[in-house]
Amino acid sequence: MNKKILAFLLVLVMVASMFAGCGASESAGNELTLWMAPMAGSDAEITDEEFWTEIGNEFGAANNCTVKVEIIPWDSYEEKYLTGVTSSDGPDVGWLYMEMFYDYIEMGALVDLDAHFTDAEKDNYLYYNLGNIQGGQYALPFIVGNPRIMLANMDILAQAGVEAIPTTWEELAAACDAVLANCPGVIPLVQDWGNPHYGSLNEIFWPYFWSAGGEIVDDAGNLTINSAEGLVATELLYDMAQKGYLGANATACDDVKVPFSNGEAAFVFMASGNALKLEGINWEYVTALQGPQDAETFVAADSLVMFESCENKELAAKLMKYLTSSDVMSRYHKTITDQPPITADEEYTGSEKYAGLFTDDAGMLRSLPVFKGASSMYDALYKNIQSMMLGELTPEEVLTKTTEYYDSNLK
Amino acid sequence: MKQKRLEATQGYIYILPSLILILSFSIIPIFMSGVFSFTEYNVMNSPKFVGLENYEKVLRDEYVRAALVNTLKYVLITVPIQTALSLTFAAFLAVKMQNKSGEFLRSVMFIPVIASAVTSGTIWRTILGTDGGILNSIIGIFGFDPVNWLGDSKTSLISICIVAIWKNVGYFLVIFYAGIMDIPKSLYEAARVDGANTYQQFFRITLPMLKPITSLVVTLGIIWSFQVFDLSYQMTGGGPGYSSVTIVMAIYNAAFKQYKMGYACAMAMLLLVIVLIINAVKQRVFGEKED
Repeated sequence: MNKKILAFLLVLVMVASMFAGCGASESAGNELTLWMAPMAGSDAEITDEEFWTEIGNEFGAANNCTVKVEIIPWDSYEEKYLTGVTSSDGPDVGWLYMEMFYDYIEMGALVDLDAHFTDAEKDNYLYYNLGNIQGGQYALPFIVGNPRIMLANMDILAQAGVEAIPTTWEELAAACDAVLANCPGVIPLVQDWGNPHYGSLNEIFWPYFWSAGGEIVDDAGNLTINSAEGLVATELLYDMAQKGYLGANATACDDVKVPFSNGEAAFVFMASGNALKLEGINWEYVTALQGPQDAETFVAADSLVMFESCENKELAAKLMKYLTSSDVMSRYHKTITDQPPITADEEYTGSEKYAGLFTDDAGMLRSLPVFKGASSMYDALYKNIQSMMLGELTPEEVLTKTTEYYDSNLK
Repeated sequence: MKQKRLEATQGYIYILPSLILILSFSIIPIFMSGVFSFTEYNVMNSPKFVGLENYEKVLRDEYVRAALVNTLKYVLITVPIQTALSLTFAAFLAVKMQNKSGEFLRSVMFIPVIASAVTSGTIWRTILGTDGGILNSIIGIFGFDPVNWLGDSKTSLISICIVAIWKNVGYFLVIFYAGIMDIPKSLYEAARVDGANTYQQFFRITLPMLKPITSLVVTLGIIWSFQVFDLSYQMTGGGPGYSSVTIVMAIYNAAFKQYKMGYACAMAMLLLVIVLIINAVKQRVFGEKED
């Protein structure tokens, strides 16, 4: 009999523990959940989690509250946010990139931050207006930097007889010809069309596209890549592949740092932060190449957001202000990722090499627009350009097929 | 009578935790997916009934079509090869290596099974790298040109199949090995007395006796293969082009990138129907009867 009672009790415990795991966590008014993105390199002094936990503890001590920090890995970033937010188990304050904004704003999941900031505070933010999306201040720009720049191995250029780093499309083509002719075994321009993620477009497509005068969407949110300007940019890529500028297999490369670091490539487009990690290479950079219309390149514009589910919005706004304060940001930029300041009261402490990048060349930097189905459109475009690189599609077909797919499935 | 009723009640209580788990995480989600597949639903807002619109779109969607074709190719390549390989290795280990070395080999072959797909994918990206990849270095010794394994639409899916087979063989090997060890030794002794050689024993005793096990392995292989996502996502992201996009990747993209849960559910229901049909065909092929 005792055994039966014991078995019955065990069953009850199992059932109870099952249900215990199903409950959504409820944060009290003095507890904030902060989800941040990983930015620290593998060789960084401290991890992102250690850094933000320390910052959270400082804020908690000063405001008599608790900040629960979670670092969300990039490879499951969007689904973690979606499942978290929809199951009421998401953050109070989070970090979104441009492709994510449209849907969260449409869902009504984000708080319009404008009322939480004074005019003086707004003025102190260098990019506050970038956070005005779809008619509301849903974002507080947090990382505005890491522009994609073109690097040149100056030793290879010297060997090829090229005296200065190219600044226009024509000069780049001439330099690539010179490298092909004079530097056997060197890839003139290495591009990672073998990368599994469409994020590579930020380096190897959008700079050409914008410099050709292209716009991704119009004011009404219609996709406008299938344009004369878009075709010029896509044909440029196609021609570069055909002429051998991108090496024998452009879709074989998934990490441009390796061939460029090994001195096997003359040019590469790379995030400015990553370029600083290159060692043993004599490199110079140009911010953006002059195309037929302009000279523009991609700059990351990730932002902090507050979710509607947050119980204590005042406290969350206070946390956002603390996270973006010059004190925290300068520590972040020194220890985790070398980025330009986002507030007027923070001094630029990054590399001297980029002294003019965020001032003189600031007009060349632009971010991605916010529109419906952005990430899926980028993915479709990326895959179609990969097919073009393999000779399976023409430049016209790339743009037509992507636009048709967007219009019929994503719009 | 009262005692019987009491025992029955106790029985129901004992199966209650499993029943709740199966209901909560299998039956109800499948049912809900079926319901959501007829709606426009982005998770945050209430679902809106749209009838068969999602199914019509799924059938017209060329991305889904490419994903379905790739997934079918993947199933056709991986399931027969991994089944044959695991059976062959299991038979070899059971017959020739009933010793410590055999135990060691079985353990070694099981390592890929417990390795995460992310780790496996990362390692194999290095092995299959076009420039400086280990595999291309090996084939280079024999005078062959390097192959763009993951960056060519002709070889990307095959490369993923190779990795999947490498990862799954160890698991099915253990199942086959256990099945072979369960076959009565007297059958082989009788066959030897009748003059049957090793191959005849394998094809006339081992294979027929392993029919239920083979059916299980094929069933699991088909289900797993239709669910392929992580390897493809990690190794190629579905590219180049759409050459290695799979149906679960299409479902994932619709659900978590496009926030179209209703549409994703329609694809999931389509996948369920396909797996059920293939399983029914498989049951016919193996001559299985429903109990």
